[in-house]
Amino acid sequence: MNDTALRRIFTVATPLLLIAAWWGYVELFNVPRFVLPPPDAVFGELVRLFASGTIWPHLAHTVGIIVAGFAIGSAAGFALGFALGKWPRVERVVGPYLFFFQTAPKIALAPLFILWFGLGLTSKIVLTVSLVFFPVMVGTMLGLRSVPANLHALCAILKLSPRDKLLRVELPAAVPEIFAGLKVAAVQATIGAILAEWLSGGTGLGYLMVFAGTTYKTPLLFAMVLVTSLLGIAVYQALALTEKWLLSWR
Amino acid sequence: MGHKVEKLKPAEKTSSLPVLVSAQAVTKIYRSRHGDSVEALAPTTLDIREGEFLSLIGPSGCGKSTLLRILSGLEPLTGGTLTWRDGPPTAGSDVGFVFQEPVLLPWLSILDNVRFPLDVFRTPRAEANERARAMLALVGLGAFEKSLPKELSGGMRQRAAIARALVYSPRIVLMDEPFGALDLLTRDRMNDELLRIKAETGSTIVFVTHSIEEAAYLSDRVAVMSARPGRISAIHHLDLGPQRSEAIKDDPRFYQWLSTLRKELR
Repeated sequence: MNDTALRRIFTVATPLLLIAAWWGYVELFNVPRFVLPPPDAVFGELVRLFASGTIWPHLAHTVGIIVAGFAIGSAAGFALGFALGKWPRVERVVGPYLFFFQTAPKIALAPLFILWFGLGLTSKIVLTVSLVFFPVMVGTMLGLRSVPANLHALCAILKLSPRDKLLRVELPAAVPEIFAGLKVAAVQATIGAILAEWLSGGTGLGYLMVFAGTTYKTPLLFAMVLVTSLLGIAVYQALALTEKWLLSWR
Repeated sequence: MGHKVEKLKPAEKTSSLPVLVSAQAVTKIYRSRHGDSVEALAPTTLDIREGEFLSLIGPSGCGKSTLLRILSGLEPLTGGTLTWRDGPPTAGSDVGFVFQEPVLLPWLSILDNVRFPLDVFRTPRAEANERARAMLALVGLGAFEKSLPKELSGGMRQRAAIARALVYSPRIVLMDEPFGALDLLTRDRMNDELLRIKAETGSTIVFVTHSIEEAAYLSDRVAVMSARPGRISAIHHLDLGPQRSEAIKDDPRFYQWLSTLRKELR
């Protein structure tokens, strides 16, 4: 049997074995449903969520916060990272504040955001933005600063205009680092959105999880864990695919 | 020895070619943060003639790269004057520069890399493609125009970089130890390639190297430089004829030049 065939068997067999072990444990030891539901209950809950359409407003709410937070956060992070990368002097002015906000745990700031921006969408988007901002800023800054000296010399020899230099050399050269930041940011955006819904409001995947937890609807909780994980993977993969397309030269 | 040796004379009577750029008492002094100054290049006078192949040879720290970077405009000079026959280079297409490493844009194909200067100069696409393809054919990379730089060997990448420096027919081509990173066999092949390209384009080339053999094999003239402070100690006109080939390496005159240059570098 060759390697690929073996690997394929493992890809299918491993999750099946895990599910079988889970099921066996629940059946054999008669574990109460609110502690650990059997796989079929979780699967049934998942089907019910999608079939009845209950999930859609919540999913849309979460995806909306992720998209808005990611878009605003990466635009702002890119802008400041760009300024820091192109003009290192900017760092002397904003450096200390950046360091403070970057190291401050954003989760600790969440209640503050709710106080400032209310219980609605704004505070949730702000929390997501605060998580997305820094990885994108750092990636953009590092990317622009890591343009090799020889490429700068080439631009000087050919007397490239600042605009041409930026569009034809600096930004393409910075793409790998910018994407490294965007990928981290995408995962952070998902965490931020769900956490924000967890803290306040009555819609969203985060809210559904709190609701499931506090009402002992454990199959729903498990289904939500699956949905949010898949959402995180989807967001990450979307970026990874864009990156693969943009960085096909690597 | 019966060779003509010029010792820093302002004009070289051995050549009848018109002067392309004249460096008069050009100096470069670097100042450190503590206010100390290092004289990288003592007052240096040198005429570069249209269509010649001039090598700058010398030990590390002799200012040969500094002189080249001053000629390219990458480094401002601290003193002296540079006089260009048709006025100082103001357009990006005036100077071609080949670095020690190929310095290609890794996200562009070989054709796009060679066409890059023409794109920057807004040359119409059809004409730019034609010229880039002709240059790729000249450096022997015609079959690799769609390849990415990482897919080529070091020697091939450097040939692409040379093609990029020549594609816009600059007034002068400056090469900073372009084959220093290559193995000896590739280096020999690249030298022959360069002679062939030079014969076809007629470009003026200033070539920095620390290989005596490379300098003697390629050059019409060799400027020998010495360190601390960096300066030109002698300029030789090599009477080995304009048509160079592998055969010249068996010529006794070639050996005499190697020995002369070696002694002067000591």
